[in-house]
Amino acid sequence: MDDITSILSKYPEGVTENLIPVLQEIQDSTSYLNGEIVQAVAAYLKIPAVKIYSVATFYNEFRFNPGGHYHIQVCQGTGCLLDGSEQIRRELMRLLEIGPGEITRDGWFSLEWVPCLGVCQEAPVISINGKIITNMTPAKVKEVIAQYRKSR
Amino acid sequence: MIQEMTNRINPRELQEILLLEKPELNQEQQAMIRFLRRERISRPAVFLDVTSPSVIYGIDQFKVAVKEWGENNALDVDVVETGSLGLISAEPVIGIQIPGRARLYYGQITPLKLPSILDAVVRQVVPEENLIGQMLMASQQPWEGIPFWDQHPFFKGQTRYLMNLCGVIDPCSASEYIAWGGYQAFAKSLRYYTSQELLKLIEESNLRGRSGSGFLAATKWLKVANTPSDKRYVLCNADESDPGGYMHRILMESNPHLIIEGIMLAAYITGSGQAIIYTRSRYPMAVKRLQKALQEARSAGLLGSDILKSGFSLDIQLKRGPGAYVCGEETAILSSLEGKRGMPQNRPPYPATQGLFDKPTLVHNVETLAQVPLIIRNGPEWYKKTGTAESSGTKLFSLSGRISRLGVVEVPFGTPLKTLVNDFGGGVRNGQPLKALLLGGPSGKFVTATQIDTPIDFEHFEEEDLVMGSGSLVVLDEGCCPINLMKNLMDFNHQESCGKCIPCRDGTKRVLSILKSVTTRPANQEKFDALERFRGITRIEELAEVMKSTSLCGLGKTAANPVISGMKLFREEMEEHVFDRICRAGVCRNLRSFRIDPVNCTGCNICMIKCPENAIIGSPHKVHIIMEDICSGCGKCYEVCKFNAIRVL
Repeated sequence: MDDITSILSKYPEGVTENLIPVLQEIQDSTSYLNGEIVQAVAAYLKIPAVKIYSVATFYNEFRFNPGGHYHIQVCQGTGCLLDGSEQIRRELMRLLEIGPGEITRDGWFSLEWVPCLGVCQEAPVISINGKIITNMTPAKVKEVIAQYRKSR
Repeated sequence: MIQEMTNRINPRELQEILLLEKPELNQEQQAMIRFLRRERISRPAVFLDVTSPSVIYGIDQFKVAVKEWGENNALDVDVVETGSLGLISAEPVIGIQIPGRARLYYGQITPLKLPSILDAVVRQVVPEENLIGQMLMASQQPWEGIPFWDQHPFFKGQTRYLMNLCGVIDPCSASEYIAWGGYQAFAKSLRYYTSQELLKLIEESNLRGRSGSGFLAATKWLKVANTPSDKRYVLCNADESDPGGYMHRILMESNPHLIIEGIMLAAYITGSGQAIIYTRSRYPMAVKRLQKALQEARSAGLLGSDILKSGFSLDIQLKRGPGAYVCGEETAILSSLEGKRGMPQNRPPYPATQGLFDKPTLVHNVETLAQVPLIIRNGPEWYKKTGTAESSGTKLFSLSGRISRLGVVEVPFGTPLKTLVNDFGGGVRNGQPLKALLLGGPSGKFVTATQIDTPIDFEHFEEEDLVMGSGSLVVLDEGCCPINLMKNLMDFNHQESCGKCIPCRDGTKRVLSILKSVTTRPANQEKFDALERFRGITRIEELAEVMKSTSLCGLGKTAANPVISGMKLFREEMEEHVFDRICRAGVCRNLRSFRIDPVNCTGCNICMIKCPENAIIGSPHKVHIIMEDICSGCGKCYEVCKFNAIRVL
């Protein structure tokens, strides 16, 4: 909570236009948002908490769950799509038994669809905690997930 | 003396260079410029392409390889991080330069290969494997018999005005940008021209917005400049979110100063004291580069108050867009910057008269603003020489999909689409025939192989009813299913719809569900599934028309574009999907049907055990049979069969 107050103190009190940068900075340090944070920001910027929820849930960047130990991002770009990212997504959902934006029960994996990761030459790609794995196939998904499961 | 120089020179000296005419430079300054341009180097240098497509190959490993090589050969080697040349499919691209000779660019290099190439180059031998070409600068000796980089098929025929420094300079360094003639347009404008004079130049240049609609920029600029207000803003829309479009990212990562100079000029011309770059959080490298470039510009005295003693003050802020496709719409960006949900507003009032915090705001995308320094530097007459009568200048395109060479190309308006695909892109991957192009991403339209001769300019595109969009070009071959692509694009539009107006919010959902029913096969064909599908498909065009004419913003208006154009162009395939329930490309996996080849089947039982629908019957060591009316087309049997006995029909 201390770091949240220190982040807040960088911004002028009660200036509503700073809402998004404030939330971004907080999420950069805590990796997710929760009710407590929203309340604190609401009190500081003098915005109703419900308004903050409405803004935070509108944008893809903000999330209200902590994210898994391994955060898996699947590229949604057209390049990946044409090379079969749909099957990759389906395979991941099947293997992990979660949908996008969700987290497995053991808290180990979380899943997210993201716009183009920029590695179109090696499509389709996924990124696990920022490490990009290229030329995915459903079989490779299985291997990769098994590998990461083993590492626990 | 050269050794003593660093590639960061002090601000005062920079300003001197900026405001001087070139012939008046003294020898010391000339030497400095040559040094900054890296025309003259004292020791070998390796130029690493560090952009988001290349970082996955491990830049640190390359650095280690270069360092080790240097230690082994007792040589000091400079390692310079540059942007990208634009040729994405050849990443990682690496430039190697030794004193006195032209720079050599290599593509698809591994850290293991690098030392042997360095060895050879130092011994004045050029290995030709993976070579892209040599780049010759002033006072350098070319390599004999080695092709120049601009003769490479990907670069030959491009007109690189915006991209000319991409991959050549250190992207963040203001000094290097200045050494290549950057910021001169801005400095000279401040000193010698009034904003009215400059506005006239923009008007004469016929600059058109590059975001798709092609509005004349000058009309917007005039409106912003002439609306009485105490404060004005310039807003650079760098929220590139098209799936399949990455030209702005490459530009931001490879030459951020060009964009910043464009914003500065736009701010000076419209009399704005504050500018904002709205880019995406999801582009961490672009954010980092822009931030650093802004810092450098600030420390060089090009941003802040009383810039170059002209009395003009400007501050540029960088805002990270938190990720919403609809925030590419100009009024939605404004809402987002004001700390609200990024929902579009009714127009008028247009942002040009009443924008950010109700002040006049000039909103342009990255590419449009990057054109401004060129126009001011070289004059509108020069600028109009490129392109066609109505559309002047160049346009960036990102090539992706099933194409041999991926990358960002810059072509003058009037270039036929064919050139983009066949010459720069090297044709469809594996020599397959071209099926169609998708221009303009999720709000774009399909282009068939017959329309491929269309020149790229606003007039011809309007005539042919095509969408230029921001410049993403996706190539489809016979292995791609357009219906499936339409479904996925609609899925994207549906997810990104802000939900403000009903035609877009519900229309995208309805279209998506119709397309889903067309591309999937329900486990049982009872009830009204089939009826729903037929009814949906007869109404889909009508629905698309309603969305187009009644949505509030560009997203809803254009969301149905791929479907409208796709229904026309791929009628036959659509009918196959609807009536025959087959996908000829084999992409709609649910529509595949399987049959067991009795010759190959050994009766191993494995498919029968694995089938989730229990659709396979048979006894051990006897040929199995798939019951097609139960089969859901999941393909499990095909994956598990070890005897190649399952045939996909």
